[in-house]
Amino acid sequence: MTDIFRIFRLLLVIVVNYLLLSFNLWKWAPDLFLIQSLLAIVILKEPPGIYYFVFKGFLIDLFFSEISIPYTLTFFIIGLFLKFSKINWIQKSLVEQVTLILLVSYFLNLLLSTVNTYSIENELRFLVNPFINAFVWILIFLNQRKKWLKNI
Amino acid sequence: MPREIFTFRKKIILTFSYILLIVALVLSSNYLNLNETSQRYLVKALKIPENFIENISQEFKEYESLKIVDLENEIIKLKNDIYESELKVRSLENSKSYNTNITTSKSTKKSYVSAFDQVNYSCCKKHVIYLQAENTSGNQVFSVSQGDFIIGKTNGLVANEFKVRLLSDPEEFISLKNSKNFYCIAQGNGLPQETVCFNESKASTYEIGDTFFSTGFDGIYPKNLIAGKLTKIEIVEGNMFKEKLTIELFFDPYQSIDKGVTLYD
Repeated sequence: MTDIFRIFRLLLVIVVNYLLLSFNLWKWAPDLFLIQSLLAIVILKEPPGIYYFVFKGFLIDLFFSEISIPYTLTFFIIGLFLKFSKINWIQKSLVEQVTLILLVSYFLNLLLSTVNTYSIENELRFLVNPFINAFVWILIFLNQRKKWLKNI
Repeated sequence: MPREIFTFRKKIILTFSYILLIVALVLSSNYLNLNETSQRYLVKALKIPENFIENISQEFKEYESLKIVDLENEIIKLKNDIYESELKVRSLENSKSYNTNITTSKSTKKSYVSAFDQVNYSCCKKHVIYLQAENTSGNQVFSVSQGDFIIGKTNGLVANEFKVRLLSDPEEFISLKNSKNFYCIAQGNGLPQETVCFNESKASTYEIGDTFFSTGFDGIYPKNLIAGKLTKIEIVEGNMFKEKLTIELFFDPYQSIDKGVTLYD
């Protein structure tokens, strides 16, 4: 049942992302898939397996990329990091989280621009998007930190 | 539940097995053309709720005032008629400066534009429209025109429709000429309704406003179809003898839906 809800949620985000693209708002929007995954990671007690991240990335790539690499590879790396790291990453400092989000966003955008040919206007996203992602994450963190960090 | 601690060996094995899975997924999606097909189906799927919303708003409007709806429908019909008449006028105008009698040994067939990939047209340098395809294989390549105006050429079948790459797509090339016998190979620059070609010979003659036609040299497009009008001439930085010619294409994909087109074998 959980998997069905996960797929349904992902399909919903795919539709929203498509609408952002159609209304030309995509370049100003945070990366919905990245934010949704980060939220899922902190809400769930046990992060999902690597296979979940790989297939999720693959599904996103099918709809938004010419070659199934950018999201598949980025989500695979996120999955590996979560599976192998010993400390729950949310319990680390906010600076470290933001640094990781910036790095992951740059990596993802680099792959996206390599396999797709975006218009000159949308290339701006690759500079702006990592900061938007980080900013959105800081807002979520400030709002939720009491709940997330109460067990430390 | 305590978290599983992985040994270094297990980490390596796990990483490699997932890399293999990713490689298999990427190769199979490429081989089966899954990305393009899923993107096409996503657009089709989202068209249903889009139409639904449109219908509801239409009914609401009808409820408000039937006369306004009639007038709006009349305006849409007139706009379509104007677009088609404009194409005919442009065709006649351009035939004054050049003989546009399309003499081709190529067999032709008729179809119509069933969809336009608006998302990729505005977001990415991928300019495609889709045509209704009947009893044809995706391996055949057809050049496509709307009346005397070149649209582009087919690039396979996606979800039972012909995918047509427009002349403005960066992967699309065409051999063009003007009425003063200047020839060039134009390539789409990824901007709406634009293609560009370069010239290094100062002896060549062209000026802004010149109409460009297909030469037929590429063996794909029939000769004398109209491509567009020269709108900009720029000197390329670092090479004062090289000029970049921007040609504005006449075909407007935003107004193309449900319009008839001709395919040349």
